[in-house]
Amino acid sequence: MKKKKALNTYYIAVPREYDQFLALILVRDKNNKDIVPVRIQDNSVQAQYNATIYKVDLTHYVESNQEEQLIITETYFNRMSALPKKITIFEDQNVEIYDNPHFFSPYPTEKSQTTYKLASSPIFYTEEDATAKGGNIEYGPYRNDGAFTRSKIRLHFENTRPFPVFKNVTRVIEVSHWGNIAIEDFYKLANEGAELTGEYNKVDFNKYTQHTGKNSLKNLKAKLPYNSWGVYYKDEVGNISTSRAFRDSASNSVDMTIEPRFALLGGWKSNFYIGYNLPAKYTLFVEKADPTNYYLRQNSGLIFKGIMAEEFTIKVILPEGATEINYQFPFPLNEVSEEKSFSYFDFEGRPTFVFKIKNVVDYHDQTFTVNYKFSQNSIIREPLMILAIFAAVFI
Amino acid sequence: SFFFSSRRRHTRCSGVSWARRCVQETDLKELIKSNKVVPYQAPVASEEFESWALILLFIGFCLMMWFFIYQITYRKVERYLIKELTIGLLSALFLGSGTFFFLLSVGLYM
Repeated sequence: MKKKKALNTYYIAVPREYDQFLALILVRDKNNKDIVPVRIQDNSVQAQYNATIYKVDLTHYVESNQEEQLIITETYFNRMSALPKKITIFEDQNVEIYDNPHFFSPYPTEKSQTTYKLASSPIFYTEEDATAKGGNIEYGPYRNDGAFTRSKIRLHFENTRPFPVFKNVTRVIEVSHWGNIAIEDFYKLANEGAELTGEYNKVDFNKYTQHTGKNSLKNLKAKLPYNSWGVYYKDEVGNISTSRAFRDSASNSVDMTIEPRFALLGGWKSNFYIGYNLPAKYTLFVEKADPTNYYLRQNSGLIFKGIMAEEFTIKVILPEGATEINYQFPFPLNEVSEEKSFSYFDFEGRPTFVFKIKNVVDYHDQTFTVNYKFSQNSIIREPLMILAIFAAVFI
Repeated sequence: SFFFSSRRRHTRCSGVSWARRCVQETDLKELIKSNKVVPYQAPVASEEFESWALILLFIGFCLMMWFFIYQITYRKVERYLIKELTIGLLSALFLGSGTFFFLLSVGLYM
């Protein structure tokens, strides 16, 4: 007779057709601890059932015949597509989504129920096993599903909001030991909602009213660190003055609202820079026992909450002469590389670390640390060079 | 090559190819709480940049004026090279550091 043993591993399956749109998957157990599952390379199961399997290492063992509660959160992008793809400036945007209402899992399921929460009653929903309660469509309860149960339902509903996406975000963090960290972000913003049919007409579209271009992107809200100073918002043309910033001690941040030069209709794009400075004493730390050992702590997420970045590149430029550089991120990175940057008075260049993360969502809004050794006396090099220039004039 | 100094900084070097550097295992939050690590203080506080710039540039310009007047009022044979050099270099020192602090005070950190 087989002895039943305790388990501390759980496997999650995601249909292959949806896995390419999966930005984040998180598992929370009854102790409220977040666990990040790891994608595994089991090719036979994945090929047979057209699924991607993720492995979860639970924090404790689950004894046989015992129940365990897990909350699995999956964040997808690009699952909703505008239908109709093109609308006039006066129409409302409608989107459709396909999904599997059964619980797709490598294990059999005794009972499952899926609820789709929409803002309002949908235009269309697949009727089979469905109960509609206003904006909430319930599918199920399904009993005794086998492993990898597949089915497809379609929802078509109204969603008049813009769909902002950052195609690329690049952040450059420059550390100066004279007491300042300079940060400049470059954003490639796109509105991936329903496009405009015909031509853009300034008579019909008035960005100050609610009646036209409801799915156009008119402004964005950002939260900068509380001690930011010298904030600017510009693009290749020049400074953009339509922005407001307010240092809010209640939310411990600088709340910034930016309005691009033009409202972005569906399919339109806009690039811009946002830069700010931080006094070094809030994010740069030095070890008491070894004053040449420095720790730089920075945010690893975007200043815009609720918007996904398809690719986020963080470049940390350390002062010339920094050595033994280590880094620590709270989540895995897609790519890490090292290069040299050249700025004022540089001979060998400043060590630069480039970190790349794909599909960045609000979960990535944490902090990362870069640790390096630097001899404080080297900072005298910059004033000495100015001195040398002046001395040459006199001699 | 890996920098492996686990004795002092408790680093762990991973075998994954993209993690060429060792990952810091000691959490920065704990280091800050236990006061092993303190916020960085620059040699000159940022509030004092303008004052330093003004004073240093002022002294530098005074010395520079003295240098030029010295050059003009005395004939070549009457001037002392040592005095010229010292005033020139001193003036360069003050003007140089004054310009440096001026640049820092307007936000151009090097």
